Amino acid sequence: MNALSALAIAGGPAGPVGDYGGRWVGAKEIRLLDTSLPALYRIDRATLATSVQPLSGADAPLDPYGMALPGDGTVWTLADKGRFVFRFSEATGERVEKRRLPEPCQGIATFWNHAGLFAVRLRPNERMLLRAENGALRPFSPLSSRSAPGLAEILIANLLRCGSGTKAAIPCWFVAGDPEVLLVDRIGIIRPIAVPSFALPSPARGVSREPGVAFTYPIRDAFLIDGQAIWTLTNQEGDRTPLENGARRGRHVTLVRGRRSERTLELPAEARAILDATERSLVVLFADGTVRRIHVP
Amino acid sequence: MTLTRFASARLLVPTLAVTAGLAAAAPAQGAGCIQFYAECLVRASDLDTWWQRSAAGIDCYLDTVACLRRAYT
Repeated sequence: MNALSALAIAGGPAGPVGDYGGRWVGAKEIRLLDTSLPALYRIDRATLATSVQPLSGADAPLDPYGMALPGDGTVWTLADKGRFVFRFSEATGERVEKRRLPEPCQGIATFWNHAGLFAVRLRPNERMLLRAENGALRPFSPLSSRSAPGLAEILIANLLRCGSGTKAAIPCWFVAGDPEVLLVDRIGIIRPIAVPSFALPSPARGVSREPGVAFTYPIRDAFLIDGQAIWTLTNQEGDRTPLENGARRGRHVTLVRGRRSERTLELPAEARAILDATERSLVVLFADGTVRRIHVP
Repeated sequence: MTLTRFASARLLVPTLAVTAGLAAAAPAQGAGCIQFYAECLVRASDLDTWWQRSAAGIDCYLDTVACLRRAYT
């Protein structure tokens, strides 16, 4: 815990977010998981006034793999590298349940009234999106794992993330690969949306044996405004993959409507996530841990 | 342990040599997670029993997923 974080917990102003672990967007409030404390930042959507709610009772490190608030009065997070689900009381922040998962997972997000868990996959054509039912994990979408030439490539090719959705759909994407957002609807059906990319193939592709250079990493976050409009935040920009020295990341957001890119904004610094969005403004978490509203000119 | 975990362990152990070779040939700047994975599996392979090796292998694998997620997302 750093000094700023301690200040925030003591009731002072919220300091920069430490280790961003995921977010949830409600009608009036954004909740943001900081796994380094651990705590929830509770941000008023209108004013960006922030309070910090500590999470207590975690006896294993929380994973920065997302969070879910499925409406059962608890906040779900993953812990111990995806082995466990912890549930914390929304009211008090105290842990109310620790559950070992039947299989380790790499992510978690709110899918309306349930928590969606993202499986870790070593083989192609296996279901990726699961939900807990009667002590088992059951798939709820045909979204499936992809193939790749080697084990390391398979692990990279099947890194999956999901962003903020609407009543109708949740945007998900594979971290490595084509610039494409997959809109998952309430019955799990997927609709792909092509989005702009600033990522270029690495010049070492086909030469280097480092598995990461076989891919590009175009998308860092996505925020669906309605059925047609989605903001995306870039991940890799240029030809250096995120692991390479000098990599440029998270410097542009683009509004895509239907099949068209309507607007692209350059951000003043590297961004980590889109916390809120309309067509006229965005609330952005920057890589330095600050939260700022960006107005669309 | 579930069937899924068994399957993971069975896949991991035979890939040891391949992954170690792959990481050894990789450039230093981008190979952090995979290099770690290879070294972790080498350490796991030195353990005494099949159960210990399998459990340690799964730890290596989940550590690597965590490393990759942190690096690329």
